[in-house]
Amino acid sequence: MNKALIIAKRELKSYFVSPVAYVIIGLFLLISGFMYYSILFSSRVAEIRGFLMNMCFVFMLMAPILSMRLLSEEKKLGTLEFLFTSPITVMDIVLGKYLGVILLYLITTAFFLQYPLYLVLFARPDLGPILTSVLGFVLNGAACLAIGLFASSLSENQLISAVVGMITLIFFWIIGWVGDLLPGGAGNFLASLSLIKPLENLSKGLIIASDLFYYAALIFFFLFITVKRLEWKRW
Amino acid sequence: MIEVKNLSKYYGPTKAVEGVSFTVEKGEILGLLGPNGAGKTTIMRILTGFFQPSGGSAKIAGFDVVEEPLEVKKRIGYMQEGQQGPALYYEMTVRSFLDFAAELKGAPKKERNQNVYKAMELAGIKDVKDRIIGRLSSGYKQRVGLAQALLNDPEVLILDEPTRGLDPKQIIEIRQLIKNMAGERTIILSSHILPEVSMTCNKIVIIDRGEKVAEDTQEELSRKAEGGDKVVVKLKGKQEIPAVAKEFEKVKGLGELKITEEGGLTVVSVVRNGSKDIREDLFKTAVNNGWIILEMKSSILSLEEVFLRLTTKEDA
Repeated sequence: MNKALIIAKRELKSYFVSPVAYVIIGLFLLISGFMYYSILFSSRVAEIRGFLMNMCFVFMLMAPILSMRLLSEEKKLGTLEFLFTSPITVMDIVLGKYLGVILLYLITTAFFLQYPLYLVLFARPDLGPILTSVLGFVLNGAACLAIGLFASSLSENQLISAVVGMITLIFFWIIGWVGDLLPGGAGNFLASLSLIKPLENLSKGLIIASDLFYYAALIFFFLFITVKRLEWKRW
Repeated sequence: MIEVKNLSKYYGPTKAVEGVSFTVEKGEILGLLGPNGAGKTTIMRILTGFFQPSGGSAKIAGFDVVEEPLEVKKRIGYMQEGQQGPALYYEMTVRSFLDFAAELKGAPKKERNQNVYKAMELAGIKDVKDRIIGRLSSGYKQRVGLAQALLNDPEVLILDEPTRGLDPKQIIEIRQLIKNMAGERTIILSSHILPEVSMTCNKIVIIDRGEKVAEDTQEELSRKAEGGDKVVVKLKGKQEIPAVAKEFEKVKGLGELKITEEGGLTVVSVVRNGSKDIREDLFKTAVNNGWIILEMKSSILSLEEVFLRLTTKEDA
């Protein structure tokens, strides 16, 4: 775990050496600012529900761009071999990489917090849904980045990693619609995979144990297959 | 210190390494020699735990590389060969990269600074410590890779083509550095540059197409390689090659005979087979046939020739 933190620290620093982090965070804030403004001024309701759903969708499209380099670049440069031959486990590497990008995401979230803050300052919003919305924003991002990290382990080409990550995420976003089309157990099962449902609940202020479990399971599953994927490559 | 037994590695159906065994004692420098694609890097990657072997076993300092990879990794310093020089984080400064590597290798904070400085000193990169790795020349990058391998004083150093991409002066420096480090450390290095191996290593393992074709000291290898000494006799004038060949074949103890014409001279090259000195017989043969010897030269087979003999035997 200690070693994972060392990797996470390096990872976070390297984001700020290249323009990627600045560009992505900057663009994200630009889009979110515009969306916040237009949604709030057209609805004139002091809540961030609709805004949250839109922002999570936008971040879902951006997450693979943030995560694409995590393992692809290491593979391409050959530094993955350096990590693998250091006295650390594959799990340390994967956790470290994941924590690194999560820390970057939390920095983004810190900027994101300004929007609910305006509501608190200038209106009297219902605080409950706002707090759970922020939680939803964090959990949704964490899930997207776990999928992005796995996509990054598949190829040494960053572009391919980003595209695979995006397609996987869009799949998880729209899979809920199948629930309406396919009746019965299969439809229900597929619908339960959707990233939208738990986010909707959280945006309404509902904290449901199964939703939290959904996020935990999704993140765990993708980190787990990333570890397996990296181990498998060595045989 | 290092024990490799019957090591094999297949990439799917493709054979990379098969049945390679060797041992390296503490303080020795072993050279893995072989043409490109012979399997040198694969062997090193198995030793460092990056690849899992398909068969056989390897032990470093008593720890099996498959069973206890972390114990092995704690004891080795590995300098890998990347696509362009050693693989390093190009966006980091030399200092911060080495700090990161030392931290991963588990040096306590107090010792870390000292370790990093010592490694930089040994590799001669103190003057570039605050520069960004990506902007360094390939020679310096190579040295940063070496410094990384030297961090935390590993018992075993595994260096994959340590002098690749260096200029002649740097090559000599790195070789000297490697030689200086032997004694306390056990070193395996790979190369396809023969003089390098013959200059730095106590022991040489020649690998070809994934298999070990020879293992010995350089002198022994030269001697073993079908005879050892080589004698070249230059005869005056153009002679009938078959006739010359026929006469010289009568000499006992010849391993190999080759007759060519070169600049109006007839050149007879022979390789000795056995320990008998054949120069006298060669002389007599020439005199008996009335051929005039302008030059006679004998030499030990260079490692290069041994290497070519061993690795091209099947095709010949």
